[in-house]
Amino acid sequence: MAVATSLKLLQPERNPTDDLRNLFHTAQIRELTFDHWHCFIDGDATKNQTNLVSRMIVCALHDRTCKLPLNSPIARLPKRMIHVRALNKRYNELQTDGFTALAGISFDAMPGQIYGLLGPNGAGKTTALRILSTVLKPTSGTAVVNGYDVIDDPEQVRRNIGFVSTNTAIYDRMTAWEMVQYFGQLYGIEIAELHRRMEVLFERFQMNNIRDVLGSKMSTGMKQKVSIVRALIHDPPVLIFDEATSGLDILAAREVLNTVEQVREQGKCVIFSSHIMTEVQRLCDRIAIMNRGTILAEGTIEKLTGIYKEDDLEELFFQLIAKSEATQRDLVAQQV
Amino acid sequence: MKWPNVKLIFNRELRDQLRDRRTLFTVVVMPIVLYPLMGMAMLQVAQFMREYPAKIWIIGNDNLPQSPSLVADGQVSEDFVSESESVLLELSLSLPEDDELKKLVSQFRETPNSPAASALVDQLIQAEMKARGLDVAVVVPSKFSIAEDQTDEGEATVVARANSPPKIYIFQNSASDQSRIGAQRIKSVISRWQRSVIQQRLSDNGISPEMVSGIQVVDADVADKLGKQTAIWSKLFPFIIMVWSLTGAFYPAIDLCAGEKERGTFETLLSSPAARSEIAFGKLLTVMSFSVTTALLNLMSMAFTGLFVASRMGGLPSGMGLGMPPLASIGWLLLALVPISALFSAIALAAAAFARSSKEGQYYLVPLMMISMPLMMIPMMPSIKLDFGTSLIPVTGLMLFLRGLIEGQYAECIRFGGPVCVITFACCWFSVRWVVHQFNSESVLFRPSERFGVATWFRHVLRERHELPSFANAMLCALVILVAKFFIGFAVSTPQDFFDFAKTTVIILAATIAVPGIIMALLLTRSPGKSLKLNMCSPAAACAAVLIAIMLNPLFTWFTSLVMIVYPPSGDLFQLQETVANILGTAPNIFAILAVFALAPAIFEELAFRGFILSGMQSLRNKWQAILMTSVLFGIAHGVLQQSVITSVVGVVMAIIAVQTKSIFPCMLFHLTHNSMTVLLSSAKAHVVETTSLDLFLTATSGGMYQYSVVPGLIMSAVGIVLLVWLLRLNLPEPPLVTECIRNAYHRFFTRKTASA
Repeated sequence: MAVATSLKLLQPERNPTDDLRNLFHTAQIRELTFDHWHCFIDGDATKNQTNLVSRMIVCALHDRTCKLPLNSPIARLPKRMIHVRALNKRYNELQTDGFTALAGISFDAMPGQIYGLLGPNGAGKTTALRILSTVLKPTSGTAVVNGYDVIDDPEQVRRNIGFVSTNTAIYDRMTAWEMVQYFGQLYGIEIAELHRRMEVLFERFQMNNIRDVLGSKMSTGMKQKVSIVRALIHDPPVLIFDEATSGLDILAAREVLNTVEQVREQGKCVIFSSHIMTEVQRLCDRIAIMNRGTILAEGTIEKLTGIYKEDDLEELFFQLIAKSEATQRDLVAQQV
Repeated sequence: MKWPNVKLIFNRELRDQLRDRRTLFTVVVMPIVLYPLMGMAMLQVAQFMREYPAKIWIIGNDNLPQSPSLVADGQVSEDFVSESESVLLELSLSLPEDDELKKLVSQFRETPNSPAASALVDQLIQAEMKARGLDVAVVVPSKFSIAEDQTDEGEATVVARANSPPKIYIFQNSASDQSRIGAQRIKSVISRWQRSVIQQRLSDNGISPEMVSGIQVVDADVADKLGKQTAIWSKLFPFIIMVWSLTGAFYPAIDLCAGEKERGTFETLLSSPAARSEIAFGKLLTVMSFSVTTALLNLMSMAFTGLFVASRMGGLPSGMGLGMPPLASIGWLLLALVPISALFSAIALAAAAFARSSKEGQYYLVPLMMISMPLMMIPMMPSIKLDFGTSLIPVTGLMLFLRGLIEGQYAECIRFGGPVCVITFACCWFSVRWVVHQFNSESVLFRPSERFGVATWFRHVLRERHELPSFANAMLCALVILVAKFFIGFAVSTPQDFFDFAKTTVIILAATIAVPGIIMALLLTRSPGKSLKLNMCSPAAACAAVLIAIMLNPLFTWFTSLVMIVYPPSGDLFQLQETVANILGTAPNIFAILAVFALAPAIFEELAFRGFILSGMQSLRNKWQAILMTSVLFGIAHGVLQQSVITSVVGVVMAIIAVQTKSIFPCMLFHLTHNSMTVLLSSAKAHVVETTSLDLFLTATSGGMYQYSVVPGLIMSAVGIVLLVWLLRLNLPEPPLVTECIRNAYHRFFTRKTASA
């Protein structure tokens, strides 16, 4: 039954399979298909039983108590692009006695949404994004991109994301055109179609003047532009910007931010990690504030400032980090 | 794996490298320019190279026979030197200026045999030679004569002098090249002069000089021109190809892996749809292309420059006959270049993948060269030739094979082509797999920079230990055993009698093999008992192990003989065997010998190899891989090639027993039985064999030793193999640990006691 596997992927630590199986048995549900977060329940189940199942699925997906109206026979959820649950990553380093980069983070990001990961250096932002881009494997937990699990189907995940990293990651001895073409070909785009897309993108980002400039001759801003075009060439539904504006001058940074907004307007899901408050405040629809591998607070900026009664995001950030550091110090002191 | 992706990556990497000036310089420009430049420099230097005249100080020239005279007009007589030679000899005939020295010299000349005088003169002559810039001093004793006055001195004196011919003393400074060359020159002049003196004496006495000239040896070279040409190329070409294919692979490999990590582009590539194996293969092909190109360009440039310089410098010494290499040899080289570059490229790429930066990558070149150089140097040695043994050595075998092909020894090459190809392709396959593994390994690709400290490492090891040893633990244990054996082998002295021998053997076995295994099991694992496989063993398993050992003994004995034929033992080994045999002669009885050769190895070697190391290898989850790797390590630990081959094969059977019975004790019994039977067979005496009707199984060989008879031996082997196959098909549950059984028995005993009380 499709649902069992899908749910298992989403919630390995809770394992709702057994509960659901029992429920199906009593409700005599013949089939339950599960396609891109839309659940269709078919069978002789009573309305009440169907509601129960749908509520359970919703709870499993949201990892919290469901507040959807219970009279809906089918739980219709918006399609989620990024789904991260209890993600753990531990590096086995000698020096630091092993190091937990991520300690069970969970978040979801929707299409047409810019999701901001905010945190100081070493908070685990890059590790989380590297796991989403399948460069690293999680120690435990789930990460699903557009319905594809990062462990089970890494190739599909890679086809569904565009990754723009901290360092501009441009080959020194390739021109802008060659670079974009190379990655386009790796994504298996047919050459005519690839060139058509490249023309459009180069035009849109006003890059025709640097077409034949070698990477080593480009300014950091130019490099970042090429990097973005490279990430967009296969038209992925998800774009990951890992501190993409760090090291850029104010003009280049602004261009990157404009691009990110453009991408959102096309309905793509953007994960944007940064430690610059103004950028986050301007762009992000939802943010997660991270420190030491955990998410301290998550939600829309309005919601967060409302909950914590602090209008200034920067001030809120400082308060949360300071509180988390103090707790950490107390923990260490207790252990000693 | 999608080949279009591999091709795409290959094309990009190739274009990227071709646009890199440094790579182009190392791969293309350097070989083309370097050798002609070196050749030009050699020609230039050759113009400055000339021989300087040696200053020779002759003391006591007056005492030399004057007809024919060695020195005439302060120069070496023209009869004994050519004009060019005489220019190179500057003579000084003066006496020492220093009075003391003069006195001592004359004293030495009077009585040269007195040791005190000679030592003093030695020093003083050195001081005087240094002060006056002289290279060689020739001192003629004052009583020098070559039996001139035969008639006056009488027959007895002549005979006495013939026994100790008159001496001329040549003082040279061996630390100075000039002095050594000077001494050589004057020695050859003196010997020519001496010959002339003898001839004159003989003709004076009416004897024809030809009568004593003895035999003249005339040698002629029958090698044809082609043979002469290939002789040098066949040694030189494979070596150049190997060295340059490694060097040519290394720099691109560093740039493609470590360089890409440094620039941050690696992460982007990894997040593209290209699979890790596709990336690895694309890069490997690029590195290979550069490796091949570098090797070829170097070879061509070196050959052309060499030929040109040789022709300009007036040819090479006769016999070297350096000409254009035969065309066939170049064909063979091109064919062999592919696997060679594949091997070196894969190794270089795997090493480079491990490096965090280009700088770190550079450090790995030296160890890589250090490991591969001896393998490339062995085939250059004149006494090494292609046989079954050498064909099994990676790189060396291929080089010898290539040499054989170039020299046209096709029959030899066909005989050993199989093993060479198998070994070469196995090496290539393993190294390519290693590269793919490196590219799949997160800890390699994103290795954090961390300082290494022994204390932190030790803490980490203790904290991270698992229940059973890991593959790395097992390899570490094997490495410790090998190193310990190597050093202890140097430290022990040759034993004098049996007890001395027994003591050293047992201590070495315990200290170098068992102790590392046991300590590592205690330190690195949470369950040392399980790691050492100290599980209980059923009586059936014990019987089966002993029976298999007995039944397979003929097969192992025959295999031993076969190995001895394939790899004939060297003289040293025979000597060693003889020494051991002599020592064993002093043993009190056969049981003492069995204790040393059978019981001690059975306990100590099993604990380490079938205990700790096999458990570690089993963590790979591949039964056969674990069995084979443990056995190979067991073989290597025996040190001597022949013994290594034999013990590897016996080790496979023991590892099978350990894996199937899940206990170390059947292995110990097998080892004990096997070694005991081998010892008993080698020391079997005729009367014992005949009286115990063992002659049904054994036949005497010509050397007074016993061998298994063919039919009973074959039957026994067949039974042994059937037993082994039966054991392989068993799937036994893991027996409880010995310690648990003892604890349970103890508890049972005491509960019964208390109950009865």
